[in-house]
Amino acid sequence: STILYNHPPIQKVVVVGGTHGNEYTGVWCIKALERQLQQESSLLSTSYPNLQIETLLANPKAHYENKRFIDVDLNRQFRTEELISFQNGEDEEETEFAKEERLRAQEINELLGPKFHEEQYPQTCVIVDLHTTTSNMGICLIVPEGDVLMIQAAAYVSYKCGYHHDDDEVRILVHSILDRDQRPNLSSIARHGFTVEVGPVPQGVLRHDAVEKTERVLHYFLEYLELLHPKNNGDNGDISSVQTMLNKWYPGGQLPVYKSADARKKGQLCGRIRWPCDPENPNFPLYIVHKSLQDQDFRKIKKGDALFVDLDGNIIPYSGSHGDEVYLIFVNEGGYYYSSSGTGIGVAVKRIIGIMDGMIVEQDESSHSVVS
Amino acid sequence: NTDGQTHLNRVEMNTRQLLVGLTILPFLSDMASANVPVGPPPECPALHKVIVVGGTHGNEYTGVWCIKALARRSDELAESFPSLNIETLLSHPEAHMANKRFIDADLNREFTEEKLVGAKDRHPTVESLRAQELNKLLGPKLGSKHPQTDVIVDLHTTTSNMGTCLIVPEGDVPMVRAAAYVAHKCGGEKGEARILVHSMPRNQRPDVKSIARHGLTIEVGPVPQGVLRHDAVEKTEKALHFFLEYLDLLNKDKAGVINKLKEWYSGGKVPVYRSAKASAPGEMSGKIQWPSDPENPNFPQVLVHKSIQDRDFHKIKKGDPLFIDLNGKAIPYSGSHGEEVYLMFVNEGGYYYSSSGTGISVSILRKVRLDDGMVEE
Repeated sequence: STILYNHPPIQKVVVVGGTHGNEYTGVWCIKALERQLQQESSLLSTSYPNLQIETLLANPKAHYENKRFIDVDLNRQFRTEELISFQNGEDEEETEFAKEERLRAQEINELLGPKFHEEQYPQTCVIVDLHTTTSNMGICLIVPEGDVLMIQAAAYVSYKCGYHHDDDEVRILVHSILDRDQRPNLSSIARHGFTVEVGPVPQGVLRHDAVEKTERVLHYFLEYLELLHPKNNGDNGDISSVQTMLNKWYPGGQLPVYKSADARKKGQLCGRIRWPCDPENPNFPLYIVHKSLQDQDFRKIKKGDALFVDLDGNIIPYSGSHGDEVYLIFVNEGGYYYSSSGTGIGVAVKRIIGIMDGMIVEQDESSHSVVS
Repeated sequence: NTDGQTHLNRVEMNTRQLLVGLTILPFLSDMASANVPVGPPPECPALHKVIVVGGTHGNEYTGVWCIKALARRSDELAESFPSLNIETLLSHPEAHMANKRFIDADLNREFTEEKLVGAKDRHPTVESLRAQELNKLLGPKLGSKHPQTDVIVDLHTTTSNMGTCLIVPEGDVPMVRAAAYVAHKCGGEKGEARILVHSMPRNQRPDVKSIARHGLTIEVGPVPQGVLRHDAVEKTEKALHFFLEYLDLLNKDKAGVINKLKEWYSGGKVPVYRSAKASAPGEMSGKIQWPSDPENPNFPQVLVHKSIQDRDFHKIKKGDPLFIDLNGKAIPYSGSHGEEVYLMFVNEGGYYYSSSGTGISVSILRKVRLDDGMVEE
């Protein structure tokens, strides 16, 4: 099978760090990248000759304060509708006390986008957004369902990581927001968005091993984009060398992924099992994640299992709210203590995605589904 | 009559004490020439008023959770530890609500004599003002009056892999003994329970717990900042429970609990880590510093090398990889604090701030004596 792209080949790739200001790893990686890009003879400069690689510190104000965000989560501010309404000054409340991140979202939209415009594509072909989590999620590649290029990128990267580095646990997480305009995250500004999530790493801390994992993923990702370039595929631009590799590595054309539960709230990425907050401090939980779930990301939880523990030591069991059996992700992620980011534990199901069309293979009736 | 009988017993007791005192006097004069400990004298009034403090660093959420939980169990506590008057305190509410370690400067460095007394001559910070408040509430730390609080136990967490660490001042006999008790009950080295000793005179100690007559810090890790881990809460509560148990036993059966300690620790000596001497005044301990990014003083210019990450209380020797820079080049340990030292607070998030003392902490393994709380050289 062949892949035909009805848009220009990938050129401008922006590597973004510090979308959450206290996720220091991404900031370190873009600094290191910048250094290499400035050195003409560096490995980076010569490895990807057909890519125009740039870096961006997404939320400098939050970064300098070592905070996830100043007012609201920057990575939830990019729904097209909201970008446009802010631009048009339609939100009266906002113009008077404009939230920092909404202003910054406008700037980034101008710098890297525009996300939506009748006549032009965003200037940026691909954004790769570097994140870390306090959860034990290993290496997690987050891509949108329906974005064939990014799903194939994830397939490529995860194979290369797994092949060369036994220790790496690489998983692919898919958010099913098929309409790009509805996606609230920063990477949705570009035509294609890819998020690298590595954990566990504490906020405001740099771990050498997390930096190495992030850089490894980034390397294979850029390699994939470079390989796609027509210049690397001889005269026949229809069947790329990447395609050949993917056909060999995934003969069934299918990729096992985790699909996040649909968010109940607009502008959120993924459904959550929520915890109640302290009435005196909305960012402080009333429940703690039970120790039996701690560090157990991508494991199943079933109805009745211990979920939380309260101030008196009482155990609160999982009610089955998202299905009798679901997979937990972002278990005890520090950023999810904030309602702006969506409070609680992430929920997902295991699915198969088609590498050719980037769509999740339909499940039959009997399989567990995630309540949307 | 019964009153007369009691009176006679008392006289007998007093005579006995007098006789005992007379036999001790010659020894006391010998002791006068011995080393004077840096803490309070070994025989001191009973310890009753205990304040459990959380949130000294606002983003160390575990301590805040623990004091909230404790506040709901006051009846149970009164029953378990009848000789103790236990209260809780949220140390730094403003930093806690903002989920920050501190607002202007590390609160746990504000309590040196120099800072407490000199506060009026300086531009006030959020923390220097809070330090004055805490000093009034729980102290006063210095002066002719004794602090109102007998014991402060300060609950902390670290992003470093330090297990359960009990931090006490050298020479503070009740606290050294308490730490020995708790460490044993928590399983010692095998249970990842260790004792860390800071050696400085009380007036130079910069930390919150130095306000009281005695202080002990419970440090549990690894825990990310701004996150609550169930296992860390349990470790903290376990250490706290044994600490309160010790204090209560001290009031009920002092000889008995001291005997227990002697049984557990042969020769009356307890293995401890002693922190390197602070190089800057008002610091808790010496650090192997890292350079900071010139554009952002709270962002390091180097990473802690993966070979020492999570290896707290392991030795490092001169030449071993220590850091790695933006070009991927490894920087070796220079031997600055000794040819071989033990690392602690390896990659502690709070130590990215110069206010807390930037870098990795260094210590040596020593023994402390149960009888006088001093480190054996």
